Amino acid sequence: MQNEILKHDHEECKCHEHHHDHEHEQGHHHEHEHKAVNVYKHDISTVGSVRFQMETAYEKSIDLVEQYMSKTAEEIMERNGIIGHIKAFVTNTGQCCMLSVTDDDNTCRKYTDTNQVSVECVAIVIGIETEQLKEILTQSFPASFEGEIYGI
Amino acid sequence: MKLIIMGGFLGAGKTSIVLQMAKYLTDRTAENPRKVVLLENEIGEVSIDDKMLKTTGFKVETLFSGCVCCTLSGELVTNVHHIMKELNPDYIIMEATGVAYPLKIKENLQHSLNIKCLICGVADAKRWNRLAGPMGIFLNEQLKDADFILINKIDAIDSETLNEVTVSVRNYNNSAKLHQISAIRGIEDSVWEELFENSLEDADAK
Repeated sequence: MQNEILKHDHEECKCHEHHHDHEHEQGHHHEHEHKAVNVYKHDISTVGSVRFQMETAYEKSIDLVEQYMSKTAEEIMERNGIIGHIKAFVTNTGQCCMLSVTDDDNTCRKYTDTNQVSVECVAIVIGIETEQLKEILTQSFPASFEGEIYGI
Repeated sequence: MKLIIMGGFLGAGKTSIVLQMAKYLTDRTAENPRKVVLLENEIGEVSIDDKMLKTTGFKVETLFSGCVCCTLSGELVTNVHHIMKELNPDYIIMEATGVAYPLKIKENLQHSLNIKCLICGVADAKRWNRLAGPMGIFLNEQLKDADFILINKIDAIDSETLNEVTVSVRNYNNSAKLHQISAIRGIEDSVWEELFENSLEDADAK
């Protein structure tokens, strides 16, 4: 059972109260992708949010998030969806960066100073169902890389 | 107190414009400082724009996880009333979500708080021709009641496309003051002068 991803309803293990990948006492391991990616419909749009942390150098983490956002944009357009916007806010001690994608060919970066740590991303699209957007975000933002991904 | 509603589709550049508008108000009136409050509305469980704006030093109030033209209309009135009472600003710049109908916001505030508002609509020149087909009806609803329209991202298109976009936008709204701008290159003071010294006064007099 070690490292096998098990699906369950969380009533007993209470793992939904934690915010990171972890080993259960029973020995199984699972990733909280369902906590990291939240999607819903709002009027004409489908809204997806992702929150996670990365144990990666700041500049590299920005490059990675930018790649994930571009991947998300490509997937949306491949499925004939319309990108409203895909924005992320990447922060580290003393600095932060906002990334914005409204097309498949551009990313805008805006740097400012602050004292926060986290990665938050929101995708607002049109013509894509909630389950599709959840799948796209889950695949575009990998559950694990050099650090870890988890819902906050 | 005057309230400017920034409307326009997702990704049109509203946040960048709001920031420059706020800077214009505070810089230009440095000797007689004007108090500006930014009111951000974002859908989604994650708010991004307000985090960016808060790093600039402006007072930013946030309404998120819903849209003030529909699901959060009550909260909007409560929030604006609170801002007026507690902060007493000269201007509130309210950035609507990219899927909001600005007229609904204006009517709600006028009816509930008797505030005179101006709608500033933002059109994305770069994506206009691509969006105007599938989203034409929606874009029309967002822009047709605007008092002031900014066609943004003109740096990303050629002059022929800009003419097409301008004609198309004019088909939606032929009465608003209209300017072609590039927020990324910087917006000229003359645009803001017309907005604050003419259009806002006109809206106030209506």
